Formats: sequence, C-alpha cells, structure tokens
Amino acid sequence: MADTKAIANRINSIKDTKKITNAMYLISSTKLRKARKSLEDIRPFFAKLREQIGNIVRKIDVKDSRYLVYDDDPVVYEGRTGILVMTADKGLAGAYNQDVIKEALRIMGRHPDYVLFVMGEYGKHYFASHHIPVDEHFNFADIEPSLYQARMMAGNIMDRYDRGEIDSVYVIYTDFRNALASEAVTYRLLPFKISHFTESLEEEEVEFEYVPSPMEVMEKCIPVYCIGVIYSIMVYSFCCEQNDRMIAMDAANKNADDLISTLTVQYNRLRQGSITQEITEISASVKAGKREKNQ
Amino acid sequence: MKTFTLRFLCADEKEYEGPCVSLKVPLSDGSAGILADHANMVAALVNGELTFDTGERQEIYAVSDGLLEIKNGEVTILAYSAERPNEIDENRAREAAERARARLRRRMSGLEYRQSQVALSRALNRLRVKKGH
Repeated sequence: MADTKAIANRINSIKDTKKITNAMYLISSTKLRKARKSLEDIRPFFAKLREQIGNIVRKIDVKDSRYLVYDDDPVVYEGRTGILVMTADKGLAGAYNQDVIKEALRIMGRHPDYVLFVMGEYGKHYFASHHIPVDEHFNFADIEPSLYQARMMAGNIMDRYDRGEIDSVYVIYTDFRNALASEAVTYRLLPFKISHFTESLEEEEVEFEYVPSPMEVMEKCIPVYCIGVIYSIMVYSFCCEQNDRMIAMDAANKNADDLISTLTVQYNRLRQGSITQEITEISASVKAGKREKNQ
Repeated sequence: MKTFTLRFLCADEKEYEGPCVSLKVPLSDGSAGILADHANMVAALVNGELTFDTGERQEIYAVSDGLLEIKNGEVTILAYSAERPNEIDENRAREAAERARARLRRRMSGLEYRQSQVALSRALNRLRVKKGH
C-alpha cells in the first residue's frame, strides 16, 4: 500500500502548486488589464503635446536643437550612450528577462562607450554578477508603472543629456509583436527623429504666435513629452511581462493537469489492483476453508 | 460675455472641457489673461496659478509645466499636473518645501540640486494657491 500513498501525496502536492500558478495567472491578467487602461488615460495629453511639437518642428531649424535630428542623419555612434534597460523584478515569465538582456548586450557591443541605467531587480542582479558597472543613482524597482516613477526616470536621464554627459539615449524594452508573442526591442529616445513628431501630423496651415519663441516652447515641451514616452514604454514592458507570465503560468497549469490525470490513473490502477488481490486472497482462503470442512 | 471652448488636460485626466468666459494662465513672462477670439498662439506654461471663469463658477488650479494652445478660438491647456486648492494637502506641501530647502542647503551633486529646486518651486506654488483661497 506504500505505493498508493506516495502517489496520493504527489497528486496533492501538484494540486497545491497548481493553486499557486493559477493564482499567479489571475493576478497577471488583472494587472495587465489595469495597466492597459492607465495607458488610455494619458493618451490625449501626450498625443496633443506630440502634435504641437510637430507643428513647431516644421518651423524651426532642427540643427539648433539638441533634442532633434533629421531622419536621414546617420545614427549617432560617437559619444557616450545612455542605455536604459527595462527588466522585471521577478522571473517566472518565460524568456522575458533573458530576451531583454540579450538585446542589451547586443546594443552594448555596438556602442562601446555607454552608461547603463537598469530598471528591475533581475537586470541589476545580472549585471552585478557579470561585473558590468551600472549607474548607481538610477534606482527604480519594477513595481506597477506610475507617472511619478516615469517622471523621476525621465528627469534623471534628461538632466544628464542636458549637461552633455550622454549624447544619445537608447531604451531596451519589450513590446508586443502580435497579440500572442512579444519581443525585446531597442528604441532611440534621444535625440528624437523629426518624423516621430511629424509623421502623424495632418497637413494644415494654422499660423501660431509662439510665446516666448518656437524654440523655447519646444525645449520646454520635450522633457515633458519624454515622461510620456518613458511611461508608455514602462506600460508596454509591464503588459508584456504580465502576458509572458500568463503564458508561462498557463503552460504550468496545463502541465499540472496532465500530471494529475496520469497520476490519478496510476493511483486508481494500483488501488484497484490491491483490492482485486485482497478479494482473490479472501475468496481463495474461504474456498480452502470450505474444502477442509467437507473433507 | 462671449464664451470660448476650453479643454484642460493634465497628464492622466481631463480636468475640464466646456465653455469659458475668461482665463488666466501662468506663462514664462508672467500671468496672461485670455478672452474669446484670441489670436492663434502657442505658449509654454510654467509652475503657477491658473484660473478660469466658466460663466457659472470660478475655478482655480495650481499647475505645473505644460503648454497652452489657442487655435481658431479654441483653447487647449496641457498641464503636467493640476490641482484644485481643496485637493492640495497644505501640510504635505509645507513638508515638501522644507525637505527641498534642507536638501538645497546641503552640498550635493548637480542633479540633486536641480531636482530639489524644481521640487521647491512646485511645493511653493501649491502653498501659494492654497493660501490664496
């Protein structure tokens, strides 16, 4: 009977694990929905800001602004690059963290002179254990994305950019390739390509008076706009993380179901076997007893 | 009085959309008043007090960085943050101002210095708006 007991124990422990993975699945799906909604809330503000920056970009000499470059300008390889890496605090989300780090290493190989800004514990641990220095002042955990956090991050990065400590900023984050799959991508935050602001702009000729000047209005808007970009990147990454975790946990749930059903069959067989054996033994001994009486 | 349409957005919320009689906004060269039929204009908003009259009531907000756009008589205000006086926690703002002042007195890196300056200006703006009403 020891065998059936061991199997019963195993089934119970798998059931307990499944409870946890199932809870993680549900938590992730709620977080995902909430994050998506928060992205909708900020859209009107930043879309309008982008449109207005687009209007200004058409009027000024792009070369005068350190925030903008023409699209056909060669990508800035010279100078120091700030690389912002968005990882999660926790694992158990498929290859989410590994993909981001792989992409980060690729970009780091292309830009030998870099400063690393890392968000999330996973990334920090990785770079610490591989003795790759990261910026110490940049300390953000990957809790649910908030505008406050985005503002602190953007402030930190913009300040360095403004002082010329870094000449370009790349962000490595995870975005949805389609509804099911996500991938780690690299996005150049600074300097902005002008098409970023002008591509969705309608052709209309409204003349504005700019106070104090187009350039000054724009220089004031871009840092605010960066908060929006960083925030949406945080939300995309967060959504992908939750989605990857949902997929991983869903696979774990299915796996648990499979295991439980095989083990249950095994358990029932063993149990049935032992019952049959007992009956055989009893009926055999009864028969033997009867035969003894008759003789 | 003639009215115009005002759209007032802060980063994650729409504060107001509707008719407006007059509007006062903080710009880099001081406070500016705006009435209906204003010429097209785009201006940078600075930390300060924003007031407008909807015809029925007077609204007051403490706003931070943003943008003002007047296009074909319609006014759009984008303020990164916007708070009514009753939404401002006076004690919290005062504490924030104190903290920022204390930080400014210490020797520190340029980054922290600038961030403290910005924080101080925001806190003082909140207190000013709160006290005024």
